[in-house]
Amino acid sequence: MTPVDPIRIEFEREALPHLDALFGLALRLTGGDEARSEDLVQDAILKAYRSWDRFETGTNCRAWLMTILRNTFINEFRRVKSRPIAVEFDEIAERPPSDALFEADPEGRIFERIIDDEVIAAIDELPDDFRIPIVLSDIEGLAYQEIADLLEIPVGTVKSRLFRARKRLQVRLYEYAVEMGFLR
Amino acid sequence: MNCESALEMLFDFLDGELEDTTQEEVAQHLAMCQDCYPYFNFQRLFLDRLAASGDSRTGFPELAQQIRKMLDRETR
Repeated sequence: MTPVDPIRIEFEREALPHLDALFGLALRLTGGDEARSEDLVQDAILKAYRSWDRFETGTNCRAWLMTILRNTFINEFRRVKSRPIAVEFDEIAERPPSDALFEADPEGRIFERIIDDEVIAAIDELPDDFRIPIVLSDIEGLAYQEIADLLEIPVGTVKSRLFRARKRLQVRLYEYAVEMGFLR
Repeated sequence: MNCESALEMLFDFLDGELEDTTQEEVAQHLAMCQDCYPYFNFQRLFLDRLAASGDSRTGFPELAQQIRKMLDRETR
């Protein structure tokens, strides 16, 4: 019988229940790239395992792991920063006006009817520079300053990207609502 | 506070990024303003919907297996 490492047992017990949450965050950060998300979760878990002695038992393990994953993603993202410049996505094509959804459905009934997959697809479609702040702010609940620090951009840039990404999402949801016949 | 300044702070307000006193001023404006309230409320519902989409995290059964194998290699 192989001796069982108590640290390994403790780590599995504390950390592995959060795999789905980690994978979910990785998917949103990468825009739905499953292979990259798997790598990201593995890298994050390995880092967490190697620094397990720095985790204080009894504190929030999920939050600790999510932070490690976020940082891992951002570091990689910065390294491969030689990507093409973000497309001015709201100028690509003729689009409904940014407040079309509010005009058509001021009470926001669409938000109860729309399925998660469609909301997620709309988020995933956003270019990196807009999707990442949205995920960090609107799904992970980070403050502007925290996002600015992570992405090494000014707070004003975080705000303007969030603003544009949110408007862009509302246009996308408007188009979806029309397509589905929720709105006329 | 007038509608224009309230609208300028729309997302700062909804994101809870304003100083307490300013946050309170916007809230007071919204309580009285029939033009701004529906729009702010709509944006609040929108942000709540985005946040809720994060809860639907689908499992990925093979991942746990892969992770355990990776930890096996690491332990050795």
